[in-house]
Amino acid sequence: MRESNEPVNSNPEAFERLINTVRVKLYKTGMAILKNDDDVCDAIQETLLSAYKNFGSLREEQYFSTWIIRIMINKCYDIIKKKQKVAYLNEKMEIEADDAYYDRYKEDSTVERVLNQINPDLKLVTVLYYYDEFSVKEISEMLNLPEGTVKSRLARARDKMYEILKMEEGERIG
Amino acid sequence: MDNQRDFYIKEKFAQDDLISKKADDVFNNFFKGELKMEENKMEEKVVDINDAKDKKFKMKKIMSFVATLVVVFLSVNVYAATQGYNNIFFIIRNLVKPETVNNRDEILSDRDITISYQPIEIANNLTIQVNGLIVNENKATLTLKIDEKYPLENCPKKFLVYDVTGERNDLLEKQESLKINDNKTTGEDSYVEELELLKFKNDTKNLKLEIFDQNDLLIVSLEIDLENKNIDVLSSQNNKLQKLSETELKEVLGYYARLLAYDAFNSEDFIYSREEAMKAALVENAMLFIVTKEEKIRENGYSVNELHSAIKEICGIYYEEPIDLKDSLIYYDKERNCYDWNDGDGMNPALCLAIQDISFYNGIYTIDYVYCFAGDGDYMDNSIEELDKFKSTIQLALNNNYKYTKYCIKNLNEMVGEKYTEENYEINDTTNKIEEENDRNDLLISDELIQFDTKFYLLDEIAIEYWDTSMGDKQIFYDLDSDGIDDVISIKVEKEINEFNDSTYENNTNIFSLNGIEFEKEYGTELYVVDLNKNDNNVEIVIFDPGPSDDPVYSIYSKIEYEMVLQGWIEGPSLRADEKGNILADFWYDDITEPSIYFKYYYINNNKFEEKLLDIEKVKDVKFKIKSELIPSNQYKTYYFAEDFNDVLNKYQNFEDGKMLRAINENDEFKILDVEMIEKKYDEDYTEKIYKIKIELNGKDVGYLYHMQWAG
Repeated sequence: MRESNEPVNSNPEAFERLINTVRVKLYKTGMAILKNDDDVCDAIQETLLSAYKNFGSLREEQYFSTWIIRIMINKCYDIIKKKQKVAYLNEKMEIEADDAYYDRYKEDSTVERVLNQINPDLKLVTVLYYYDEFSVKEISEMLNLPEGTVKSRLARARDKMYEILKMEEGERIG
Repeated sequence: MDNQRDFYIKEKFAQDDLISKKADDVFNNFFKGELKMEENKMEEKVVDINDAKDKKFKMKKIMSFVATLVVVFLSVNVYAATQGYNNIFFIIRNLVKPETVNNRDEILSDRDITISYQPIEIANNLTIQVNGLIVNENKATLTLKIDEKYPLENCPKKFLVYDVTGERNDLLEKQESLKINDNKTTGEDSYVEELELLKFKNDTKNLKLEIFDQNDLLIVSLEIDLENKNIDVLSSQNNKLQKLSETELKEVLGYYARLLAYDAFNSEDFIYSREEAMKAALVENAMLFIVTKEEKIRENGYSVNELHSAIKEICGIYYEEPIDLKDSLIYYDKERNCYDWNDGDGMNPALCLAIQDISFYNGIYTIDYVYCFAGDGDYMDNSIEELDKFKSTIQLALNNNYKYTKYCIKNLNEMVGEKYTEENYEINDTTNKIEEENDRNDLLISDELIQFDTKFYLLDEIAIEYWDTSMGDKQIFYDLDSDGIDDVISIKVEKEINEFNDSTYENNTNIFSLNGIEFEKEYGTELYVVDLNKNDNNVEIVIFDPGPSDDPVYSIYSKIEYEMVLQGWIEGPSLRADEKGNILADFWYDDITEPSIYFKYYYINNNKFEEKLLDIEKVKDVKFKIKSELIPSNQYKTYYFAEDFNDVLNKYQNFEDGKMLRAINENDEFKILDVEMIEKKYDEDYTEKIYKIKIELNGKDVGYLYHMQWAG
């Protein structure tokens, strides 16, 4: 049995096992910040490298999810910053490669459909709370925002998402 | 209802476990083979990083001289942080938020405030220095330091008459010098005059101080521009008198502090004695001045005569013989009888961090200053504040006809560098220092000016007691009205279990009461006991209500007689208070502009709650610079510009990123032309107040500001 102060593990198998529990969360979180699949994939790649390198320093397996999502968020912001340094690509970032698989993903993914209909600024908090299932306090710490701010953002997104989902449900039933 | 909706959304989201194929490939490939390859790459990177760290460590003390020259080329201006000293420009600066300085670009940025440190010689042996302007609400005191010297016995003693005027009216009845009755007729004297400007208004932008002699003849007049922090000094013949530039002075002090490198570091680092080290630094300085003047580095060295002439300008000493530079960056080439430099390492250049004091007497400035030795690495990793700091006193005189430098050192042999150990000296945070200075001077900024300098705390930071209803029931005992009896604040959470589809969820009702009397029920989730104004006898209770699905609200309650009475409420995700009665919602406050800005605040005093709007007159013509176009916490853009206000409304109402909205970028500047509050009806039940903020962007485009930090 592992001593409490020892690292979670430093072997690739353990890393892979834990990553597989969060791979969808990582992707959805990335999509909430960045605007195209390519950038999210770059952020995932960077996150995997960074996380693997520092995996040995993680002492509590229960914090793995919080830890790696935080890395992912930082990598996403790094990508935004890099792009802004090269040029003001805000608008261009929305242009995506022609990718049939990705198009299908956007149609099939409930999260993606709903998030695309709410204020872009609310996406990240929404995904962290509703999909990644972090608490308000955890999100507050993760994003360095007051808890009140996190709550207000969730409050703003809640009704809109509820309506969208209800409408979709009605359409399916109808 | 919230819980029900949350549950529903989570349930729906949980069913979606899709990711794009490309992302799936990234994960799979990483585990298949790239992991091993990346491991190897990472190992290489680690080695590289360690190498870089080793190099950087060396850079701490040693840096190439060529880099020094680059600094000289680039550093037209040198760091000129304010530390709250008792000079008028510092006092004026107290009205604006102090800047944070943490990298070289900022340190070297132009902060020249083109104001005079120079005491003004208004008559033979009589100098005057404007020492400070202390503003206390609508009164002000102008402080002058007068230095007189009476070289001859029985010389008639001068006395002075002061007259201060503003834009609209006289601020001071003519006031005679306090020293008028002093019988002292010989020797030297120095004293301070305090001129109380009883008719001063906080919106006064210009002062004119006229000084007359005993015959009522004008000796000198000072035109003090409070907005632009500038003093023009006019002689009785209306000639503008010479001024010193703060930036220029600090740049020179940085050069001259280099002469004290021996004092700063362990002598083992030197191959010189102290005297030799100082001479070598003089040669370096002379070369720096020549290179700066010529804007290039010569390939054939510098003649002994030329360099020694430059040294004479620096310190008044002419060295006949070539200076022995031993095995340093610069060497003396006997064959060519010139100085040239070796490739190699030298000391870091010095950087003047602050001028602590300056006085002028008999043509000589005596300056106390603080400095450090900083290399590129220190700027790159923002570690300037961690470096050892030193202080020294230098005496400078102005060279009237100079080729390289107009500042001549008058006390070269007495110059000593000492470690500076004042605990509260912080290069990166001048706030405390300035606040202390304010306290010392009883400087009270008026309410209308709080947007510029008051520190606002989050409620969490100043709450006496805090409770979140998610933690359950609670009783808090605190004397809210200073009657000597503890009040009992109770928080009770009533839980209700509801069913939704096949699941159950909890719905809570939170009840807040004081001494058994209920004052708020249902939506509030957090309670703060907080003293919003330490100058009154009341302690307030603030309840945070996150929704249900509306905007978050803070309700402010005060105890009046025996019950809690709602004083008012403030919308916003978080609340800040300065403990002096002023309250801000983060909704309208951020730290992204320089100076900081907000458009609305509230004031509570003795159970009275008022909403106050930004006084446009106070910010007209003030330039606001965007320090960061992104909100640090979430990297979203904050400020947008639209030529048509309807586009701003559209953004507020629908969160539509209309193409008409243009992002305002870092370092952009805007001036507020007008602020108007309008009411926008969202639907039948809800009307929101929106500020129509007309701005001029970067001195050319006129339009409207969209600012919505919290909706991110």
